[in-house]
Amino acid sequence: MLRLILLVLGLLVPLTVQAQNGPLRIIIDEGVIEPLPFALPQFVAEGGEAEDYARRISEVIAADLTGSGLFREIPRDAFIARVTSFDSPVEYADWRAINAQALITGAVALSGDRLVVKFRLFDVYANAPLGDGLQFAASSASWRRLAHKVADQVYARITGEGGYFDSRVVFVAQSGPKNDRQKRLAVMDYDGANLRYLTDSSALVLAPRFSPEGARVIYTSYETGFPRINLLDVASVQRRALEDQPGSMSFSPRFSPDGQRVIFSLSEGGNSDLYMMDVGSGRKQRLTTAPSIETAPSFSPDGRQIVFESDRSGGQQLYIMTASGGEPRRISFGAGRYGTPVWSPRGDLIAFTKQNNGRFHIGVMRTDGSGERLLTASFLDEGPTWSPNGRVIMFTRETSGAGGAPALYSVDISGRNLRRVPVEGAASDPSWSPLLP
Amino acid sequence: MKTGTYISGIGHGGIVLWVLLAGLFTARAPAPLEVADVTLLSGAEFAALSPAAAPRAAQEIEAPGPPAPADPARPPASGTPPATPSETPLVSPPAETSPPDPVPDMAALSPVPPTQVEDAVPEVVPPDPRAEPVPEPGEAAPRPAPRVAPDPAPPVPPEATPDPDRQSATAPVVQPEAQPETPDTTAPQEAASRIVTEAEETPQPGLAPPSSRRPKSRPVRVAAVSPAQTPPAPAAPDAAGAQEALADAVAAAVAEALTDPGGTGGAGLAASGPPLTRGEQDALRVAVSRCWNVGALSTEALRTKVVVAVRLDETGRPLAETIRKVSHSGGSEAVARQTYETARRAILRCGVDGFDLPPEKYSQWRDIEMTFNPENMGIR
Repeated sequence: MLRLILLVLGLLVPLTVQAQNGPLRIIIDEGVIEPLPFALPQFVAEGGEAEDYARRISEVIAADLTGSGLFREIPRDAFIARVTSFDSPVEYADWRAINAQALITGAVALSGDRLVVKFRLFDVYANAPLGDGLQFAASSASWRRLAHKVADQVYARITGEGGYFDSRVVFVAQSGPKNDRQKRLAVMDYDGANLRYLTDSSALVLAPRFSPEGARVIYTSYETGFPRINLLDVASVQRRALEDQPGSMSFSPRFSPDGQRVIFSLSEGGNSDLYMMDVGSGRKQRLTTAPSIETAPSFSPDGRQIVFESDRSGGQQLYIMTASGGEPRRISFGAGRYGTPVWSPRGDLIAFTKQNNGRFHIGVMRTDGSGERLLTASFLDEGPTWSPNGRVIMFTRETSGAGGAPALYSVDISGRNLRRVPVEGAASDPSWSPLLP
Repeated sequence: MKTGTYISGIGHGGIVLWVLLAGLFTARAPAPLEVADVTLLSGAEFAALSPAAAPRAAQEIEAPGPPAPADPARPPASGTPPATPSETPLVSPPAETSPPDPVPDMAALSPVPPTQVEDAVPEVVPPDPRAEPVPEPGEAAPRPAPRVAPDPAPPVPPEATPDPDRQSATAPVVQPEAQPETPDTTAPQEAASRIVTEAEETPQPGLAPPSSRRPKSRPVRVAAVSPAQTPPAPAAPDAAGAQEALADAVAAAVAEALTDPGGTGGAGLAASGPPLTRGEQDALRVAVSRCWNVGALSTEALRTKVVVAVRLDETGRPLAETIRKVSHSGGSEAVARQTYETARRAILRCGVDGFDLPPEKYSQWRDIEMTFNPENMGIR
């Protein structure tokens, strides 16, 4: 009993002090993970000729945000308030009533061939704009890019990280039956629009990679009957062989972050090793000298390290070494085989393909090999590529069977929002460009 | 100068001598302990003695102490006192409650089965409503309780694209040349409390655990307490339960003490009065959590913790102009702003009709600091 009294007195003092002096403190460590609902009234057309652009631009913005998996568009028939002018006051209560947390308003004006898009973003529950209004202008032919620019701004202001909508993807477009596929390079917007072919289907092409500025593409071509590395200018579609050493095969190239060098695999006498080449001079430097197969190299964003796959330990695993060569350090130790590593633009993660128990996975791990997470599981998933902001991974998924065909898919690095990229026909080997200027 | 030194030296020396002579540092004799002689009885001897002595003692002895120190839901596993000889001899029965030392008349006793003695003793411990139900002996084994998740998560939306393996397994032998185009739709993202990737979407037999927890054994009733025996000390496994009961009692006492208007003397609008109970705080936490949507946060923002201060009006509605970020950790200032904005939206959204808080404790919840920590929900 005495203990009880003493304990009561002992607890009474601090409790009383807390009750009188401090605010109530609680910890919220659980919430919900769901797309943020936003309202996007059709942009106001300033002039009758801009009406069609206003509609289409609004649709693309909504599709970009919704397609990211982080946002959810509220149907327009649920709107209470109407936006008839870009400068009309915002009725926050009306937007709150339909549970909109963000509101995007905008206007489109067309003057000759010059299209001007301006927009504002509002935090409905804060009753305040979220950043300043912005205006973009371009030719009317680039109306989709204008929409992507607006969507990127909205995405960045709400999530706190850069967008990825105004970007392109180079890939291998495939046609024909499975045992006689015609392959050619193609480039498109990240969402599958504006498809354009860069090569014809006379020669087999593989593994195209964008240069850091997005103007060039490096890829492997079988034009001579053997794999050779080619360099292609996207605008002019001019190409040239970058590596043409007789009696050798070069493949799996990738640019350095500064775009001045290319790292690739060179196979001589049945042995593959990594080489670095200066794009301007063509001078080569050998990085590995092992009897095993080293391939699929990828630079870290700072250009100091390289991650690649090798079977030097008996199985196909991932290794990291300095960009000048040296002793590689193995980073993958899980069950199965690891390949096609790609360093994230943020530098914190490495995406890879994993094969285990007859299934293929796209996964990510930290650069020290820890924190491995498998994002997908399929009959055949391979060849990941990062979005410019390091948030989304695009890859090739191929279905099984005689009628199986490869297609492009994307997935958020959280593992959510797995969706097929709308591409006409079969497609594989995607490579994401940087954000366009 | 030297005179002072001499005086000081003489004074200190005198003090030292006085201390030594006065025996200040001599050890005091320890206080004598009261020791009572106790005779250890065997079970048979106890059975022989009990029929005559126990009923009489049960009327005279004071009811056993309140159950506060011990967990009433968990009586001792055995009716016999634990073998703790070091404790038993040190505790003497109170003089006023001790029965006169009976001189057993062995001739007048008849042997009675010990079980009758146990049944005759009244229940010492009242049943605790919190105690878990205990199956009766011979009762059928309890059915496994259906698992109910504390935070129900909706099922993960299946991918729109059919699984290629299953497709091939169920396809006819002669496959068409070209597979039909898979629909280009994706199941809408639904709210979830955790992220499950496609690779983790392995079919599971069910959410229920493979086996339910084994029910506890039926508590043994407390055996008769002999007047010569002292109440058994709480068993060690019951220490946690005892502490919990003690904490409840303390909380009740503190709340009662703080309800006294003249007690603490809080001035003005400073928080005073009874604090929010754990349940009331949990209700507030759940209410805010329901609206805290981190689905559109960047990966870095998901690693950033923010502390947000808010003032509520007397109806429990947050005052928007008072919401501010107190501090953050784990990310940059710009990233912390994103996390803060989600927190702000959560407070305003779910507080639009007022949080369900006890009005009489308004001074306790008028000012709140909420720490929003998304680390458990982020991408690991």
